[in-house]
Amino acid sequence: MKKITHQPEERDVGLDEFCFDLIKTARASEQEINAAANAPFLYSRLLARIAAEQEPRASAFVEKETHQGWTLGFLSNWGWNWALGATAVALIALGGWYWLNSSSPVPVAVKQQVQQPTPEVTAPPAPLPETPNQMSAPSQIAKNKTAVRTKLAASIRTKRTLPVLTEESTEIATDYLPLTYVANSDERSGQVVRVEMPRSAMLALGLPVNNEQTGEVVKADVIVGDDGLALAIRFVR
Amino acid sequence: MTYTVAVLTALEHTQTGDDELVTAAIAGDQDAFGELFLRHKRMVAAIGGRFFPRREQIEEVIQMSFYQAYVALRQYQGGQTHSFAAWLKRITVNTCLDELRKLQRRNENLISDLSEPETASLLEAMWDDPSAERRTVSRDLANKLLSRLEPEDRLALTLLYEDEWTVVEIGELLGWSVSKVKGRTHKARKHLQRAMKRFR
Repeated sequence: MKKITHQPEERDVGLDEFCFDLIKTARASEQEINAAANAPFLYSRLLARIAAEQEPRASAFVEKETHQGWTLGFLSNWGWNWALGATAVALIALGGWYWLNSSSPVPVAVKQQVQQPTPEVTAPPAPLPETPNQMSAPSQIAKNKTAVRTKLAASIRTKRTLPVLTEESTEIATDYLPLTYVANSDERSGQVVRVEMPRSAMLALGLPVNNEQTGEVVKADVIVGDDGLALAIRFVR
Repeated sequence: MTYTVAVLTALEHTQTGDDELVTAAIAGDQDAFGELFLRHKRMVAAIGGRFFPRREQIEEVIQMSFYQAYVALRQYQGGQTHSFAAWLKRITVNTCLDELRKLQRRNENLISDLSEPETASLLEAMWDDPSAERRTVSRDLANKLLSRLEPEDRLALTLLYEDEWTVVEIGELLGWSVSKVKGRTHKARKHLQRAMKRFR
């Protein structure tokens, strides 16, 4: 059997220079690196991502800070939780037993009232928000990108025809989140395209997503510019 | 009062070593993890910037790297084997590899060869001193060319040229054998050699 021997690779100085220059050219500028490192709300978005992707037990301090405050954070100790749960169950059982065995008669009027079928009541529809922009969005991102978003949303609103009362008008949507830097957004025009995408895509924009829902599909409106670039996105429920 | 305590805690953290901060973070001290983030985010961003030219891509690398570090915080062995910075660097490089793979999957059908004008523009920008605008264009073209490499090949090549690391160091960082690093860099160099010959 012929033995294969590897000859040492000859040094190609020209190729080395080419590779070195190419890699140097491809890298981000110092400005971009500094801007990314000092991006506003970067740490808050990281915490939101950790909170969204981690089990509550695994991220004790995130849970403490973002959801429950110091009181429940203190009680996040498992022993305390078990004790509290057991006490609550015992109290409920005791209350139920007391209610069942109480000898106080129920007044006839109350009995009749209870026996009468209650008329069917339809809940009034929830008031629709006036504009999509007034709806809630993660406050950190909202603060971060307010200027571009407001301009984009304003320009899109003016281009839309008056909505007929459709499913869309009862939807809840986040604010438009810019996907790219848009200079003079007032002068840009585009179209709104409704798409469906996995909920995990929201993570890429720093939005918190429940770990169990990452596989689900979520609706989104994407503003596509005349040049075909996606300018902004909002998520719709 | 609370504010004073917070300030004192923050001051205390700035004077604490990384290993102590890791211990505190594992114990549930969010400020300690925040201090680690502040200390090392620039390093993580610099590593991300070697592979990704755009700000939002670098931000994603920062977030993913620190997320992975947070998840694996208990596995950090302390300064006995590697410093926290070296440990985080390894996580960041692997995060970059994952992101390169994702990028390749997304752009699989979009990558095309550089056209003649694009090639000329890239070469001119690489060897001359271009304007800021042309530098941006040439950066995109250089990334377009590098995106034709396998993510592992690109990673090894970048570490070899950009950081001037030895193949042994790269192997240790990535958990690869020396022969794998050599094979990957050789493959990448061959690919670029073909491209270079076509350009010239």
